[in-house]
Amino acid sequence: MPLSSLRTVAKPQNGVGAFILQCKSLTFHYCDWAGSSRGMNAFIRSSLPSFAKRNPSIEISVSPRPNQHPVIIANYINGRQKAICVRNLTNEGVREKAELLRDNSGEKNKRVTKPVTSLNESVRGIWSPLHGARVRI
Amino acid sequence: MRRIARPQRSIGNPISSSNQLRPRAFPSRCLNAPAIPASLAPFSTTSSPHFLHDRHDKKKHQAFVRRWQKRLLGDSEPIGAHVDPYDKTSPVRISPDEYGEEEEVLVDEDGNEISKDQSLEILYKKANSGFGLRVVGGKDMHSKLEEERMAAEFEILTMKTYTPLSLKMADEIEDLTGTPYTLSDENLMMAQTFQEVTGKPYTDFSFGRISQIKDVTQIRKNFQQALVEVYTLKEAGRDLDLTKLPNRGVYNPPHWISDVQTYTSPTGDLVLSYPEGRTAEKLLEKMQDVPAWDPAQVWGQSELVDEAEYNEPEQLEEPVQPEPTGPNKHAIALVDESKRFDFMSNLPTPRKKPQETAPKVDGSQQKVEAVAAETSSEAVSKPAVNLVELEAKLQASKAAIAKMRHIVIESGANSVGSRVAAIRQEVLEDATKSIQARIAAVRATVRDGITSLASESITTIVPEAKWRHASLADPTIKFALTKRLIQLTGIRISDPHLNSVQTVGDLYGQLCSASKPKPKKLYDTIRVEAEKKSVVTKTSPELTATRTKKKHSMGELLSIPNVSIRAKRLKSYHKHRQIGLDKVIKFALAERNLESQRRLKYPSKNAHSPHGSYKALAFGEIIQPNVLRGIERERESKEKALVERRDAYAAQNS
Repeated sequence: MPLSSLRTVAKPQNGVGAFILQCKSLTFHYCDWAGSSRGMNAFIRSSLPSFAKRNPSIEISVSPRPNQHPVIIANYINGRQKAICVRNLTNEGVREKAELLRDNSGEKNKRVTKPVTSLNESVRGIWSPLHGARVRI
Repeated sequence: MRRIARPQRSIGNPISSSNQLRPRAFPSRCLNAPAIPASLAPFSTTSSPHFLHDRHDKKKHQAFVRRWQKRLLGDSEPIGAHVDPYDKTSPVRISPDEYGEEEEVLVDEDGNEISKDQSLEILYKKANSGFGLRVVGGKDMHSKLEEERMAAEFEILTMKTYTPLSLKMADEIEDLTGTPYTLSDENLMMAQTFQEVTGKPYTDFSFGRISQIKDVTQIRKNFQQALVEVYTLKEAGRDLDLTKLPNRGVYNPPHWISDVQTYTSPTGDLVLSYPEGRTAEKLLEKMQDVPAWDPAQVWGQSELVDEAEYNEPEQLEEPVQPEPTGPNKHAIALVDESKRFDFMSNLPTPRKKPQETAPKVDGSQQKVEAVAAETSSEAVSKPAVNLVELEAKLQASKAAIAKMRHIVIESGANSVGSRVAAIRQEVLEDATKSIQARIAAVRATVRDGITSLASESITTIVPEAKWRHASLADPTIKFALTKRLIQLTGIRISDPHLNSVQTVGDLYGQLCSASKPKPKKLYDTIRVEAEKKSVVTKTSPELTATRTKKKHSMGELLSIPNVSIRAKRLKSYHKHRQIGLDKVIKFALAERNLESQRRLKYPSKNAHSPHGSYKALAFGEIIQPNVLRGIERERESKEKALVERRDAYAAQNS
């Protein structure tokens, strides 16, 4: 009898067909007076225009938050929010954090213990005691 | 058995008058015991232990003193416990009009009463909150305004730089130290009169101009003046610090000081050339000019007479009891100034200048004079024409001066130093006079030569070295210039900027940039950049088009479509307005006839401003009738619209 193939549906994967950036908006809060906000201020003055131009799909909002540490707050498509305090960082440091948030999906940070993360099943099958090397007594 | 619990004492802490009245070396305000001890019973009639002398509030103390004076002299009516407030005839009940006191009424030029303008009532609605109202008055504002006004007056009248050390500050310092710390000398009489006349402390502490100079032409003028002054002093070999002069560097500069030309010599130094008929000595003389203080000129003859009369009896008295000034002016018990404990020094008597030893002085002086004679003779004898030789001579004389200096240090007496300096000055002035005359002659010949050459050929000679290329590597000159500039313009150049200054032009640039106010907020810098950019694009569109390298600058931030920059802090209602929650709430409230409540919480900023403007109304400003009409019309239309909306919703829902 002919083998009938398994019916599968194309698994949707972000990036395969189209890529949708998970980060919806980035809010930069700075302070005019605090010393910890110097890096953030420098970032807004120098690096932010090019960052914004390179990521036109992200809503960027810059507003002062007086007498507080500078912070970047990212909002994601899954409705979650992530904030990183960028106190006492340099211009480049703040840029790195902004890129980190932009590249992130909104999922909660999980510790990865396994070497491989994949949607596909294992090629060689999961080990069972019944199949494999013969047990000799 | 104790019926009254120990903590509930009816009598307060024992009041020791001596404790309050003796002057304290460390008058501490914060560490005093509390006025009413915690254990005192509520029914206790013991008043505050500070009732004798409350130092905390001068006004309260004055009021207290006045009250007692009135009672003692019989001026006031019986107050407080002696008056029956329920008696209709008691003074507490009688209103000021019935007393016969004047009620203040605004009166026109002709004497007609100005009635309250009815139109104002339409506009000036009683405010339920302080939001949006202008805050005027208060102690700080008044004192600041007073200070500014008096500073301007002071600067004009006395031609001296204003001392922002106010009387209050001086009093505070003197209170804390227990000494007349801020007084510039021991002359208490002078200090008192100075204080009375100007209302400012008699002190040497001066922090420079009260306001910075912003005008570029003024800055240029002052820069040129400072350059000329400092380099004149340098060439004369004197101390470059103008504040060490008797007039503290404050004098009327001669009008021709702006005509003094500055050139860069081939060695990189700045060289001055004075206009015709003017010399360095004249300038030096003018710089040391101290105006004689003529009280008759300042105050007039009559005041002088009173002063003399007042002075004499005071001087006759042996133990000097100066009139109390400062915080103790109204004190019941006077604090003796002369008996104040001076904890600042170990000396029992005020410090005196060290006595000059006579024999030592003579010996060293003779030596010095001999050396001086030698150098002067050396300087004058050689007939030199070349500039190089002249410079060598200068060097030689400088070496001689250095030698002299060494001798001075060895002898180690201040008076000798001053005499040597005087001699040095004379010597150098003679030398520089002759040198300058020769330089002028040389220059004239060179100029003639150049002009003759120029007339032959077509080439134009462009001077490569301008005044701004003159090097400022010598830190003493740089510092002297900076100090003089601070004194003249009030503009301070910070140390890191000073370190980067190598030439005179650099210093001028730093001065100009320091005078321009820099925006303090990040939003302001971005906005200014954006404005600059827009100006550039408007004036020269070709420049912006040919940009090959796309360098995104701060000015573009405001125009990038996905970026929104706010000047003020984000609040919840901003978010509500953004997502439209505000509108929904407004409509819902309107439905239920509750809009008034919402409006109170976030009143519009411009509710009181006149029609067509966003300016807050000044007090007493007359509003034009057409403006009034416009406002009335707007308000009526808004109210009508609201009423209509309300009815519409009511009709909908019913």
